Amino acid sequence: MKIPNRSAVLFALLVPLASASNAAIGLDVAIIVNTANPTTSISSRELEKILKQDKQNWEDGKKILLVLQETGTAEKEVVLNKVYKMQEAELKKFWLSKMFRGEIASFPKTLSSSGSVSQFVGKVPNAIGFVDASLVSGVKVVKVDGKLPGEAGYPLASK
Amino acid sequence: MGMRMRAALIVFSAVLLVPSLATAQGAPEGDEAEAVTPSGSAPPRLVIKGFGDVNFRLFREKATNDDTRNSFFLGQIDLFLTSQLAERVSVLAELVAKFRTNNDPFYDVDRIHITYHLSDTANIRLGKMHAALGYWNQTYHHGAWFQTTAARPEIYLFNGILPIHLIGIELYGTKALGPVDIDYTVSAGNGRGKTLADTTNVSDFNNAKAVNVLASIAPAAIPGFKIGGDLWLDTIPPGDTASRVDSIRERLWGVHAVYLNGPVELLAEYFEMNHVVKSAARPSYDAQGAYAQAAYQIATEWKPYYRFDYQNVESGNPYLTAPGRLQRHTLGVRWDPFTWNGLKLELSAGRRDGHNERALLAQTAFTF
Repeated sequence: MKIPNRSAVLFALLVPLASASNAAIGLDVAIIVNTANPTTSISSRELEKILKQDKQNWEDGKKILLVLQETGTAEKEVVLNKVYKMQEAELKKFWLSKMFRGEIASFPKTLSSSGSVSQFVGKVPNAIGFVDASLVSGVKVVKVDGKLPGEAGYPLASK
Repeated sequence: MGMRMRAALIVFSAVLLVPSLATAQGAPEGDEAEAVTPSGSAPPRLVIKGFGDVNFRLFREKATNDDTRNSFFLGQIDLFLTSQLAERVSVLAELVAKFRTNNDPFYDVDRIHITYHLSDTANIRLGKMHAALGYWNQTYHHGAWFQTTAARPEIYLFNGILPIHLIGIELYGTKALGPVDIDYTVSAGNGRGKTLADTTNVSDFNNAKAVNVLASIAPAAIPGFKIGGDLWLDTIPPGDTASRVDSIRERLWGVHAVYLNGPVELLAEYFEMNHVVKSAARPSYDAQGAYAQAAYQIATEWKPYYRFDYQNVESGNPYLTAPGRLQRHTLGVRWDPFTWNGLKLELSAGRRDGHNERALLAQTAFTF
């Protein structure tokens, strides 16, 4: 039996560790809406307002139904860093503050994965969510600052 | 360091052990899966949150003798209820248990209102709500856990000089206009009662209604910065004493500026108040109040802070019967061992009507 050399063993051990610790690197987060939603593009400023529920209605007057992902998902980490600019604990305080001021009645809806979010947004005409751009299916991807996921300068790229 | 000061610090240090137990047991960090828009057949879902605080205060010098000295004391217990009745209709209620200076508890409906969210630009609210004055009143109010500091600014004390509640109707909204976002609130309601302690929950004392307007702008070029102003006009009814036989015209205006960005917290507010007694002589009395607060978040859990408080009430005012001038400096630190609990320790030193005041205040504020 051929005994693997030390370099090969080290490589076999380290690559999975590196991949796990860098799961978010190279991840583009797509902002998705229902295919019936006429919105095709939003600015970063408007996206921040929507995700913070400072803006709660679409341009046509329909109520925005915001759906987030659970704590710990790579997609949520990108959005916390790039849009909310706060950590998860601060975000929970933020939602509670908005409830205290009477701006919202409860925390936003939260689902466990990009698949769940895509499925929900695909069924609910006025919903908006965020998913791993490589997992988009059955929904419309919205441009942010004129760019789609994968394009140079896309604001919600993790790297 | 005196014995009493040492005892206070030992007590405060012991309190620090409690959060470490909670952390070791994996205390829940709050819910995430919420917000179900009610269907036509299902009843609305009620969300209940609570807020409370427990305090210890040590006075070294006092200008007056009407406050509790060197004492543990309970803050307000705030039961906060919200419900989404329909896609564009929500309800909020705030029930508060408080304690008088004679230790007797009493209970109050601090807020109860229904809001019709017509659009981002237009929301209509009816009921008992926070008056649209400044920043602190609408942001913190009864939730000591929300505010950085242990004590409220002097101008926002409950039963202080400002009218902090309104029972009536309010129209508010926000609008993006190019490089700025504009927020506005216009409200009308029952206004002041006969004394500062009165709240006109079920009956106004006169036909005149208070009118309250607030507007603020937030420039997109300076994230986290907002500046605004407000105006309150009211006619205070006559009181039940010989010195209060006439109505009083009240005019109050204020400005505020806040900057909240990352670890930085900067708040500043200023108010001017004028009372004119509607008698033949029409005497006029002025009052001013202000605070400026700065805080900086360190390593997510620690937040040192400083605040300057100022208040000046002209003597002879038949409505503001505690005249005097106050200037106070407060220096403190807040530690959040986990998300839902804040421990605060602050020293304050100032002068009230020519007399020195110094105090140490320790607080554990929490939400549940």
